[in-house]
Amino acid sequence: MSDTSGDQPANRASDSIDRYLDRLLGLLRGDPADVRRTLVEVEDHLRESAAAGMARGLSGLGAAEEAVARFGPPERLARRIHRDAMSVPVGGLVGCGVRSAAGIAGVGLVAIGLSGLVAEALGRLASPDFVAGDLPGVTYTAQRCAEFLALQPDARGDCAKAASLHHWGEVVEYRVAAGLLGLLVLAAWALARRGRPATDVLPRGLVPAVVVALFGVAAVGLLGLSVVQAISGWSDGVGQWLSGGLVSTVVALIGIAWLRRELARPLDAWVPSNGSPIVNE
Amino acid sequence: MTSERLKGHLEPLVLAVLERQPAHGYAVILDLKERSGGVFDLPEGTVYPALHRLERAGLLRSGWAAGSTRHRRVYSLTAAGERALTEHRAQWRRFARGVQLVLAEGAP
Repeated sequence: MSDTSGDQPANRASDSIDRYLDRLLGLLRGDPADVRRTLVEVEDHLRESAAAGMARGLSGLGAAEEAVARFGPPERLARRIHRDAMSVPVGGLVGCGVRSAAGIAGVGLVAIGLSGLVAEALGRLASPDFVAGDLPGVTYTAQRCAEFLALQPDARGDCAKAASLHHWGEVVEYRVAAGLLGLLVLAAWALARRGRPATDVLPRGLVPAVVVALFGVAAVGLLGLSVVQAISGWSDGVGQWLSGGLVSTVVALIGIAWLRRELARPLDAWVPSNGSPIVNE
Repeated sequence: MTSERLKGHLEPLVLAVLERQPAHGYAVILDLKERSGGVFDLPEGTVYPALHRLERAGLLRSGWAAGSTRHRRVYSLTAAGERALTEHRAQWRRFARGVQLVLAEGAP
């Protein structure tokens, strides 16, 4: 193939490759980082292939057009890339989903445990009634009162106070027990991750987004309950919602920071064994 | 050989090429063509989806290497990739032996 126009051959060769890249860019969809990576790889390939053609004696334009022809139509490449992106292995998807769900469940249980510690603090700072006092109209049978008083001798015969102390203890103990279970779940989750290749079939940022959504909803709901109950003029029991709401807010904020970091994270960098310098993406 | 006939074989071939040394996509294509004696003269674009698939499966890893004029994506086998290649080789030997035994039956 020969150049017949008055244009610079090198420019026309570059135009041919640029046109191919523009067509490919118009066809590729999905994660912008993947699209950019594919374009950079394809451009590198086409320019190296064109340079090899020129070294064999082809004109710049001829070498570029040969390189483009040898690469195949951009429609086929885009189709294959999209097909691959849609065909996530079921096993990998299930495994990744289970691992992520276990991690989120572990975080959730630990958060419940922390809310138990906050409930303990609120009970000491305010009163056990603030955390576990009964709503208006709640009464106990004489037998139940006797049980509470037997369990809580510090109540000195006050059934309502004995019930509050007992329920405050339950709120704290059950939540802390859930937190300890959460630590075990997280330890198992961390062990299961060890030694696995760093592949993740879930979209980047999905897990922190789920954490933000779950704990954000929990924070709004629990803090909302606290406010509504406090506004209604009955402060007894507010602490059980408030403790959960405060911890959910903190976890949701940590989730937002995690999500931001995850979305800003460069793709994996790697130093090959031949020691070539690597530039992080 | 067309890329259709290579279906199911391209990934192990790519792993075998990268077993020798890390390489970028263009070098993988050239090596495939050279080592196959020109039999695997594929549309060159087909190798990139295969490289990306293998990387997603954890059999390859990659990173940007600074070239003289451009940055290029260099691929290398992971430990899981080495194990997968060993398994592919064993399967291929069994398959080729079976085909050989059947086809050679009627040979003079």
